[in-house]
Amino acid sequence: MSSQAGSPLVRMSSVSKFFGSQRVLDHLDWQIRPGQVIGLLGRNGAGKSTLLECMLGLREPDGGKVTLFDEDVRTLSDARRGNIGYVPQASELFDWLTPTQMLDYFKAMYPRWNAAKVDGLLSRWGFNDTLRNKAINKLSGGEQQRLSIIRALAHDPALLVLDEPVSSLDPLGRRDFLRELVGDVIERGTTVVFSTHILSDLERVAFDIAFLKDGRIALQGGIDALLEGERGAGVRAAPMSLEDLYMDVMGDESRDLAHGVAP
Amino acid sequence: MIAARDDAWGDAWDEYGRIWRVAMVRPKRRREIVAAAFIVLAFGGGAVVTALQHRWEWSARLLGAVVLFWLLFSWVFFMGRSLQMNSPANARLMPRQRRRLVQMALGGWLALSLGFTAMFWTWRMFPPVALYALVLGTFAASKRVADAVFRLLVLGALCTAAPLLASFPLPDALAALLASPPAVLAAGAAVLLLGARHIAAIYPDGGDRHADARARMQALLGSGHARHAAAKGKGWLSGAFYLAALKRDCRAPRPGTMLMHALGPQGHWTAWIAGVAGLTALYLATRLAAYAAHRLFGMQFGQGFLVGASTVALASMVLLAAFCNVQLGRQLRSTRGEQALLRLTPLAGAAALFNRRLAAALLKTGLVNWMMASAALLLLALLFHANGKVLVCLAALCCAAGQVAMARLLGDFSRESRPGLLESCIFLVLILAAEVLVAWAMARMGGWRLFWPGFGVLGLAGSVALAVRGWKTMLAAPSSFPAGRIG
Repeated sequence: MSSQAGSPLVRMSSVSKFFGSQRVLDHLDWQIRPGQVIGLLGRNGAGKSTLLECMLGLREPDGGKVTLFDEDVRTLSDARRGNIGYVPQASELFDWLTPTQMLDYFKAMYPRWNAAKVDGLLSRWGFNDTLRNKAINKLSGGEQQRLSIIRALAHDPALLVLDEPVSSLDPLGRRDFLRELVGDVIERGTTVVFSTHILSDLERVAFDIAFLKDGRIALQGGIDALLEGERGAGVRAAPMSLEDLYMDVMGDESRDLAHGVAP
Repeated sequence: MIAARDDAWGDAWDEYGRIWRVAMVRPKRRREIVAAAFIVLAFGGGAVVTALQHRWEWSARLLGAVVLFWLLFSWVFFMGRSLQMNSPANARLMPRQRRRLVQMALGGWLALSLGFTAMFWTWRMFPPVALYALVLGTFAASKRVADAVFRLLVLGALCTAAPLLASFPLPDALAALLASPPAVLAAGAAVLLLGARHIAAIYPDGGDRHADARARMQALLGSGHARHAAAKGKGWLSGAFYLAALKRDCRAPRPGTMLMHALGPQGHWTAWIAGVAGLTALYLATRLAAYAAHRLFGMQFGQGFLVGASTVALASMVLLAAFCNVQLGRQLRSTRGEQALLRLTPLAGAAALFNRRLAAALLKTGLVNWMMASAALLLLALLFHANGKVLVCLAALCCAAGQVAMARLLGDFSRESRPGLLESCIFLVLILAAEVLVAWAMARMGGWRLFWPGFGVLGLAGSVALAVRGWKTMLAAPSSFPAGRIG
C-alpha cells in the first residue's frame, strides 16, 4: 500500500522555513502519492504543523518549492482548492457562529457539498438540534473538533490534511472518527495526511508513517514494513513496536524521557 | 517596631519593582523608541522654541508634558499587561499580588491625573483629565474594541462635553454653578470614587468567585478566551444585522462579501451601525434636552453650545472611523485560522484575484463606515441649525477624517512587518499638519473663506492618495490570507 502508482499528489522540494533564527524545516523533500494514508510523527515543536501549513500554501516557505496536484501551491486553481480538506490544530474557528451557520457558510463556498453526509455525521456524532444551534464558542473542545472534521469532509476532498485531529476527542469520539476515516474516506481512495501523537490510532489507520526530525523527513515507509525492521536501502533491524520505533528514530533523549530516565 | 515597618516597606517596594519589571517586558522595543522620539520631538521642540522666546512658563509646561506623556505611555502599557497577570491562578497562588496591582494602577492614574492637571495650571481640569486617563487606560487593556467602543465613546463624549459646557454661553446661573468650586470639587470626588471602584472591579479578587468576576471582566474587555462575542447574543443589535447579512450572502454568495465574514462580526460593516445609531441618538437627545430646557425654563442656548455639541459629535465620529480601522487590523490578526480555511475554498480565487476582492471588500467597508459617520454628523449639524459656515467646516473635517479611515485599511497583510499603529498615527499627524499649513497659506493668499474648503479638498485628496497607495500595495503583495504569515 505504501508504494502507490501515479505521479505524486504532493511534492515538496528542498523546503526550508525559519522562525527568526530558528530553522524549522531544513531543505525538506517529501512526496505523497495519490491514495496514500500517511501518519506524520514528530516531537512537540518539531514543525509538523508548519510542514502541513507550508504544504497547503498557508505559510510561505523561505526556500524550496511545493506543488499540489501538479500545480504550484501559490497559484493553485479553484478546482484544485475544492479538492482539499483541512482540519487545523485549532478547532475553535468561526466560533461566533452556530454549527448550522458555519456549515451553511462553507456550503456556499464550495461547488460540491455532500449535504446528506454532513447531516448523517452530525446526527451520528451527537449534534442534536440544541447543539446545532449553539454558538461554537460554547461547545466543548471535543465537539468543536468533531465539527471541524465534519466541515473538512463535507465536500468529499481528494486530499485530506488533518493536524492532530483527535487530540481533544475522548476514546469514543476517536473510535467514531477512525471508523469514518477508514470506512468512508480511505475506501474512496482519498489521500490522507495526518499528524498525531496517539500511536495506537496510527497503527489502526495509517498505511505509511513519516518521522519529522531536525526539519527533515528522517524516515518514511509502510508501517508494517518498518515495524518488521525494513529501513530501506537494504538496512534491516529487529522487529519492534511502533513506540519503540518512535523512540529509535527520535533518538536517545526520547527513549530516556519515555522510560523516566533523566537526560 | 520601626524596623518591622521598614521591612514591610522594603518588601512592598520589592514587590512593586518585581511586578513592574514583569509587566513591562517587551520583546520588541521599536514602538517604544518611535513613541519616545515623537514625544521628545513634538514637546521638546516646542519647549526649545518657547524658551528661545523667553516664555519660560510654557517652556516648563512643555518639558513637563514630555515626562507626563512618557509616564502615560508606560502606565497604559502596564494596565494592559497587569490585567493579564491577575489570572485566577495568580490571584490564588500569589499573595498580595492583586492588591499591589490595584495599588500601582491607582497610583499611576492619580499621578498622571494630578500631573496633567498641574500642567493645565487650573485644578478645575482635574475631573475631565482624570476621566480621560481612566478611559484611556481601560481602552488600552481592551482587546476587543467593538464591544467596548460604544460605551467608551459615550463616556469620552461626556468627558469632552464637561469642559466644553462650562466654557460655552450657557445660562449664567447654570454656567456659574458648573464652574463653581463646590461643583468641581463634587465632580472630582465623584470621578475619584468612580475610578477607584472601576480599577478594583477590573482586577477581580481571588477566591471562588474570581472566575465569574474575571469572565465578566473579560466579556467587557475582551481579553479572555472567547475571541468574539457570539453573533447570536441577546440584545446585541449589530449581531442581528450581521446574521441577516450572513444569511443573505450565503443565499447568493459573492466572493468579496463572503471574504469579509472570515474576519468575524466585529470586522464586518454591520458592527458599526449600532455605534453610529447610538451616537446619533445621543446627540438628538442633547438637542431635545436643549429644546426642552428652552420651553420649560426659558434657557437660551447660544450658537457656541451648538458648535460645541457638533464638535463633540465630530470628535466621536472621527474616533469611530479610527476605531473601525484599528478594529479591522485586530480582526485580521485574530482570525488567521478562519482565514486559512477560507483561503482553501474554491470561491477565494487565485492570489491576485483574492487580494483584489479583499481590497474591494475592505475599501467598501471603510467607505461605508466613513460615509455613515460623516452623513450622521452633517445631519446632526443640520438638526442643530448649523449655518453654512459651520457645515462647510464640518464637511472639511469629515474629508480630513477620511484619511484616518483610509490610513491602514489596505496594504500588504501577508507580512508580519506592516507599519505599526503608532507609526501610522504619527504619519497621519504629519500629513494633517502639512495640510493645515497648505490651507493656511492658501487662505493667506486668497482670503480666509478659502481655509476650510481648501482643507477639505486637501483632506479628500489625501484620502484618495492613501486609498490608491494601499490598493496598489495590496495588489502587488502575496495572498493576504492568512494575514502576517510571512516574516
